[in-house]
Amino acid sequence: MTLLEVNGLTKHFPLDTGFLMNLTGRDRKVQAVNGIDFAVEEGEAFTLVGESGCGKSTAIMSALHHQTPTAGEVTFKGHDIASYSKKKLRSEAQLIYQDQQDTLNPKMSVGEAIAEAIRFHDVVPEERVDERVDDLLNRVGIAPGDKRQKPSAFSGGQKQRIAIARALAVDPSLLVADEPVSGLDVSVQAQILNRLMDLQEEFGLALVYVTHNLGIARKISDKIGVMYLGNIVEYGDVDEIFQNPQHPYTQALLSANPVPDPSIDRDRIVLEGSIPDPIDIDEVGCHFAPRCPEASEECTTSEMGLEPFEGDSSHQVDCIYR
Amino acid sequence: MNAHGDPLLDIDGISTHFQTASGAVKALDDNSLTVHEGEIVGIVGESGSGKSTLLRTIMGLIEEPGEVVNGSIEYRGRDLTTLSDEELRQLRGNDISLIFQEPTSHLNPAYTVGDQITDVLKAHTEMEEVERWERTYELLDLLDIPSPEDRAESYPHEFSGGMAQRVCIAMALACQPDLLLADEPTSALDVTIQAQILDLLQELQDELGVAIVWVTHDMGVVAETCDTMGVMYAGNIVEYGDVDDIFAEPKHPYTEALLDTVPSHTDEGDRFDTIEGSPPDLQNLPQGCVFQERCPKAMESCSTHRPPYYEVGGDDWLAKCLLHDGQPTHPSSTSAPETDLSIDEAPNRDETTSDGGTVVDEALEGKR
Amino acid sequence: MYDSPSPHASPAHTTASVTPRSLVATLAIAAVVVTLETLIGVSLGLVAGYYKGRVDESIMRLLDVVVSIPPLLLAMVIVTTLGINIWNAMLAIGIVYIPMMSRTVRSSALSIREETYVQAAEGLGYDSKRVMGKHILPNAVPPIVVLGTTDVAYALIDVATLSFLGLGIQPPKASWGAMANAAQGYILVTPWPIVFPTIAIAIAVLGFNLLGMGLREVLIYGSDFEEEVVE
Repeated sequence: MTLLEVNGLTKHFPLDTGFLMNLTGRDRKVQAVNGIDFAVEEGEAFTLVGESGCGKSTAIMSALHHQTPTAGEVTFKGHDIASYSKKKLRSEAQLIYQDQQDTLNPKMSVGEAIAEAIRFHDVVPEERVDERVDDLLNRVGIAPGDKRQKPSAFSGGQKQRIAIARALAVDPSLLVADEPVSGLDVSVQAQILNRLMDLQEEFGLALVYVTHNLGIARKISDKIGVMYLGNIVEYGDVDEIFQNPQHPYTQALLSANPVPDPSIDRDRIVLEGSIPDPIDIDEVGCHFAPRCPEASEECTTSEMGLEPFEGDSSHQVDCIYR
Repeated sequence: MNAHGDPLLDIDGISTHFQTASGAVKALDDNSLTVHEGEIVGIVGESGSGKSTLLRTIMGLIEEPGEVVNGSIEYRGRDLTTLSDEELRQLRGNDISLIFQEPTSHLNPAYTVGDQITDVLKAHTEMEEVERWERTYELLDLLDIPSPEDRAESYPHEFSGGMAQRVCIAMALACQPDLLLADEPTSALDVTIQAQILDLLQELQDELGVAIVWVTHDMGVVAETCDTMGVMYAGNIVEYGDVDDIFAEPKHPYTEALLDTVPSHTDEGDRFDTIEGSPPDLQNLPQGCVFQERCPKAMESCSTHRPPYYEVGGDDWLAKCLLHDGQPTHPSSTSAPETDLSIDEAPNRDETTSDGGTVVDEALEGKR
Repeated sequence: MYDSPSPHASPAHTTASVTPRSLVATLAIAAVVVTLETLIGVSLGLVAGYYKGRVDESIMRLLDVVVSIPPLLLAMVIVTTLGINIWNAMLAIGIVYIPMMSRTVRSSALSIREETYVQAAEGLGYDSKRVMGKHILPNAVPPIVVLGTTDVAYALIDVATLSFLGLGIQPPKASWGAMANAAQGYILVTPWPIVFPTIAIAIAVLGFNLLGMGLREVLIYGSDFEEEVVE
């Protein structure tokens, strides 16, 4: 079953430009997300990749109504996501945050933090709360004996694992992780990500992962969406896209990513210019055109949208030349 | 990649310790490495491995309670560890420059970019004002910053991350240094912007012949950009040599493990490879090899003997691992290989230098 | 020690007797004031800092009204309106102190609510009461304690002032301010009855101020008591 389905999701933030500007009707906005579509099946891992300013974090926050979308439809388990009560929705979809150091309340012991979540959502009867806390800590590789410790007793990587335990405590069907391991050492990242994938399988969870790290994206996902300036420019099966990238941006992105193998001599596709701010973007035409090596006049005037590449619906590209 | 020149910077047996109430933190312990003219040397390691401390030690930026307790850093015939503050200040920004990870904190938000670059020129050269500004525009152009005369009037916050980093590089190259020390200069930048900077730096290096020591945690960057590399673990450079050689056949178990764990987008595997365990406490290093507890190839002797640098493929490929016992050891200014330096017995700096001084000179003489 | 023939003064007032009973009474008064100030000030501050927007604006403007009136004047107005007794005096001073506590807590709340663990609490679906009470408040404690402690000192002075003006505690109950009040008529005859309560107030105020400063060092700036030995 399709767990999460997003259609035409848009999120704009008003930019405060002052009284006079507003009077003259020129109200500028930060166009963080511009009508994106994606779907996540039960148990599937979907990653949104992109560089800064592409809107990937805003996209998931809006999809899950942590922020209210400007437009678009989001259905969760077949129902409009807005029809869920806040409490119910949060028990179904949990978020793992990027900041590992700060993700736990410094004044609460880690056991308490997890127990609170369990109790609030009535996941198990009171007698079994302790047992569940211990079980969850074990599953993330933290000794249950440490549950009375405050977060300051743990390292960044451990805190993030505890945060994962806390998220799993409410028995969600969807886990959303926004760069959960950035800043941690590579081997710590590996340990946490392996465990995350194991837990995903054990609990049958769907996973939405947000990152700019292509190496992680490849291993962790089944499906991937490449974002640029508020749009998904390429979408589909992860191996297919990595092996056969079609959108010029995806190609540039993959080519720019250094490969740890000096024997491979590759020519990097180097894009001109910086990543623009998502402000004052034309509604019509391709947002990547200004930097695209293959751009033409037509690109700035065409209707855009994800289309299957060569008829393959598991590989969709948003480019008039594909 | 490039034909290297003569040795420019010769780091020999450098140890930097930080004294705390509970003992010495051995941020760097017996490190050796040589940078040649025009060479790009990558330094990789995880956090706490000592990469940044190494750069700071080279520049003489170690402050109380840290000090260089052992070793030497030869630069154009002078030992940097013995120079006075004033002498070091003359070198910094002039012969040896430094760039950091966050360009925005490196640049002063209160001054225009042009002011900051001309400042560097003012401090180290005898140029007239007009000349300084000419040179500034030249530099900005060299770094591919469009409309240099206009952009020189801009403030740092008006630049994007990638552009700001270019400004920092311009400042660093202003006085035509021989050596550029870069501490994770592209780690804070987006991938496509990083690609621009990497390309640019390689071009500059070709044109200007400046040597670069590039500290990073990204193996991909090392593979694609660097000529030689040093792998650091727990305050030690455990392996050092040509990038192609090391990637093809790593001689230290940590290097091998590290290369295995790097996730690349070209990997098709399902799992992330990892090294079990975690790095040791720099205040409580084990006797013997620092990597023994996590090393899949550890032997008996690894827990009692501290390995010296063995020459595992000519004198420019070094590995600190007892697996290579039998190979010639690299001459160094620290004591003989069998000595275990425990925390209380850190050798008095003066003694070793006077002893080891001769050995180093002879070795250098041999190279010339 | 010095008997006063005044028909108005009671034995408790007539001596330079800073008795334990009057000490307790004085401190109790100050404690009540601070408790009142804290309960209301913290609640307002949390709500303002957490909800922001209109709620915050309204609360802040309301507090501005209170702040715009000179404190002692406001207290006097409240007491003379509601009736001259010690309870109203405490209420009046408490009200005067609320804005400061509110703003302090609001400031903490504003920054704490942006912390990841608060966002996580909301992400777990916790209601606002729980988020404010269990997740924000415990992390906002240090400034509250520091302010509360120094406010005990100020409350002592202000209640004493009110009593001195005859608007606070009434005889035969004794507080130091009231004692000073009763004694003022006799300064030229016998200065001691005014000196001792006044000194007592000064010492208490100094003491609480120092305590507050010490607490601030430890709770907010995180000093240790030991010197670090660096070789």
